[in-house]
Amino acid sequence: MIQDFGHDLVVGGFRGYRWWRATDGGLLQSPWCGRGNWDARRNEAVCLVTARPRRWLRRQPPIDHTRGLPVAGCDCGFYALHAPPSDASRLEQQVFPWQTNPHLSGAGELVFGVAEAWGRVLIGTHGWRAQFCRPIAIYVPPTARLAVRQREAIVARYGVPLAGDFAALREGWGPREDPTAPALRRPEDAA
Amino acid sequence: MNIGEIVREVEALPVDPVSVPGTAPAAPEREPVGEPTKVPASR
Repeated sequence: MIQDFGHDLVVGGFRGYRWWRATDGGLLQSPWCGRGNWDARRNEAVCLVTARPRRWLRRQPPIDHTRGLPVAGCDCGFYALHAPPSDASRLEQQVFPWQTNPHLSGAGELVFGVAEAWGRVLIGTHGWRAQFCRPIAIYVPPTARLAVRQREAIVARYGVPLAGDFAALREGWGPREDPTAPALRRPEDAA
Repeated sequence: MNIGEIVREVEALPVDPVSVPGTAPAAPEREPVGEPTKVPASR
């Protein structure tokens, strides 16, 4: 059974931290599932289970997606974390790659940054899943191996700032408020 | 990616109107007044 959380209406997107895969041409892609190319302004989530069901093992009855993505009982949507990953052991980083130390951004083809979500958003204790998403800032340390032309291509393609300082990324573009706190009390909460 | 336990569901409206789905600026209702459209002599 899927819990009913109610449905708050809020003005303004939600920000969160996440990883992308950067191609030679400065294209950002989803790094682990789907390998979708990201647009600079608007990306709409597609459920890979419902889009390509043969590629997935179904262990439970199909989940209703007619109310829109993401769905609580599924894994669909664009993902991001409320706080940058930290203190994960090397083993944890291997098993859960999104817990990789952000200071390794640009060491390979993965880059770390801040995304903004809107539309239907499911807020979790550690992050969110969203219907619409876009990148708003990327962090690459100056000493990272990512080629300068690749950094410039990301900036040109997406029009996002490329922060070389992690504190500047957090202060300038990171999430501000606790997204798990309801913006308004619902009438049933006050009763 | 693990977002933990889901505690809230919202419909978030972005501040930037350009990024709101379905709110792209409408096309002008009339053709702009100016030079007549030039038709190429040959295709």
